[in-house]
Amino acid sequence: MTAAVALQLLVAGLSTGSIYALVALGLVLVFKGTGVVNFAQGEFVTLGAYTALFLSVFTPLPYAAVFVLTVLLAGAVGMAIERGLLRPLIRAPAFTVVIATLAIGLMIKNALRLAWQEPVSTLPTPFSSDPIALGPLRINPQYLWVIGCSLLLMGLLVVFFRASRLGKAMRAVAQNQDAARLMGIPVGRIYSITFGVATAIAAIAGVLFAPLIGIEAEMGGVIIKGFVAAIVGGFSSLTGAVVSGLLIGVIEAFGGAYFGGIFKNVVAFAILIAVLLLRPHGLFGRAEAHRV
Amino acid sequence: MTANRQHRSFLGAALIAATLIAGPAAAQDGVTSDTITVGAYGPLTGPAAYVGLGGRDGLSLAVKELNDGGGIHGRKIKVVFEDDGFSPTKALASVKKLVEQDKVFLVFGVSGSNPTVGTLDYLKERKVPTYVSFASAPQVTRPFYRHIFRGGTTEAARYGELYAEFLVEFLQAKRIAMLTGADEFPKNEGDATERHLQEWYKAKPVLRVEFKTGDKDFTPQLLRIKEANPDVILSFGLVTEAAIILRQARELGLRQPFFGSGAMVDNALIASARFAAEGFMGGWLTPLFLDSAHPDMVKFRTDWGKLYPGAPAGRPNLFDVLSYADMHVVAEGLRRAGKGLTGDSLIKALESLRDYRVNEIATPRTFTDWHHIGNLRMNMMIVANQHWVPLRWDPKRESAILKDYKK
Repeated sequence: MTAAVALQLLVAGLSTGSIYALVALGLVLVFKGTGVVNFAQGEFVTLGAYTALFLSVFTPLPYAAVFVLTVLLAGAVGMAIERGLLRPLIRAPAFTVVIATLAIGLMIKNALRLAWQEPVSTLPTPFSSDPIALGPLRINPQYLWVIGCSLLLMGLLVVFFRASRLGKAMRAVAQNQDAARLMGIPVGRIYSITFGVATAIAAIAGVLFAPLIGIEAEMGGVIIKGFVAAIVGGFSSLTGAVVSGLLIGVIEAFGGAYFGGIFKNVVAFAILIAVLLLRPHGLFGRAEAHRV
Repeated sequence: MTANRQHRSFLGAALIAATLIAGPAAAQDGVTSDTITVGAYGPLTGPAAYVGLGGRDGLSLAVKELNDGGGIHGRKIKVVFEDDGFSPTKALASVKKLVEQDKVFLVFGVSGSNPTVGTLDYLKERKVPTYVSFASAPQVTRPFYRHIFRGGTTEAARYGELYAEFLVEFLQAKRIAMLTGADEFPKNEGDATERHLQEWYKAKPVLRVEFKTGDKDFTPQLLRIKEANPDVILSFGLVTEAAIILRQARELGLRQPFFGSGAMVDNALIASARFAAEGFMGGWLTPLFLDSAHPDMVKFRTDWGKLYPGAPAGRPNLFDVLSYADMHVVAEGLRRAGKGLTGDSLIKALESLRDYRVNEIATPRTFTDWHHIGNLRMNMMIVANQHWVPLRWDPKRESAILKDYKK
């Protein structure tokens, strides 16, 4: 393999890995904030992409306005879903909530599939479709935009959880609802905000990736790789989610080059198993300490 | 014998005779004096919903036209539709319900290869007349079975014949690389094309690489293809994959022409891949593309729009056209079968069809008493100036498939 080919694979892997990273970020965020494993996160990506598509088709809004409006709408939808469908289950067993999120995802996917029956659509962007040539390396400008946005978002979320009162409140709710409530934290509102932010992140992922991978009802299937990234990263670490997502994307690209395209998934899941065997709490996770 | 006994014997004989005469019609499931019940199945939910929704709606449009025209020999057609979710087990359950509970006269398949194959053993065992509008799996018509007919989509092996001939004779391709999906349908197309390239033209592809359905990055495969430096790149799979493949190929500096599956010939490819789609070629199963200005296609789109106002983007699609055309083929069979309709009379009537089509939106269908592959044709299309345009090319070689049947 020449250096040029390796670099090209690295860029492709990082861009695909950004998809996994953003999905994993949403998963980790909801888990950190509410303790819920949200199986609808993939469909929130789909919802974001379709919302942007509808806005761009049915309104004359420019890309920037479509982007911002989509994120705001998705956030509102996420909060509404939490308030209307998940809040009533706040005391239900964790498994019940997981199944509820799965059902929400299926409803979103099938509704979108019936509403828009083009097999694949795209979103116009202000970026040129001509790749940037750096010697033998060719980079789609959209890739750089996606990788940059993913890293920026991760940074903002890390600061948010560590430094802001709301972020700390979300972490407190995730650790112990009752204790958080006794400390005066409005648990219900924190749940809503968490789902709103996670849905908004998914929408950002949808808008960013639509021009690269197309918009279709099945695009939420990326949640599987998002889960792998989240678990490898430790499931409670935002940095871990992003680093693992990028890593899996890169390993898949090189795995595809060395072992053939159909073994890419095998490589990703082999990594998952290896990491869990060696570090059961993930690369960036820590074992929870319990006072005895 | 008394007059009374004679009278009773006469009545008894008359009753037996009447039963014998009326028997077959009365015993024929799904046929009454005023109705013929057709059972259809296909995916209305799940990833392949666009196949079944198109199949159902095209079928319904044809049935509406037929019923508005007075039906067939005074009988109106009633359709019972079952959703199979593109699952072979659900398809089998759907077909069992249609046959055993709804007592349909004919089963009309608008599903696709995997689910359809799951129903075949049962339908053969029950000897139910079956018309498969779209499923390219060879098992539908191979081995020959008298009760089962194939409509719009041809056998997978035929795609291989047409693609190989087109690539070598028309495109004059010598170095061919293949990028194919690992699922049943693209794999079958790829295998058939590779086989005919070798058997007919001694042309072995310089490289064949595969991908998984749902993949979003094809860089590893495309870099290998770039290294192989082919004249033409074949890609078999879905339009969702083709849109990404074309964009990534052009980004990586691959300038060779692409040729792809019929499933990739879709306006969504142009809308998604935009200028990367320019020059892309593929096979199309009907003579006219969906946005054609031909009066027959304009009429179809208008009538379809009236029946389904406010339809979502992407409709009507190819499957609307195929099932619409195939329901008209079945209707012609029903007409030719006459008033005393039975499964047997329908089969004989369908086997009498030669180059039959409702109008120019469909390829002609021919059936005989030794093969039930209705369509062996395909039109090659190219994206030129962001539109699908038909290429002027007709295959010259005789299909080996029919030769096999004759043997």
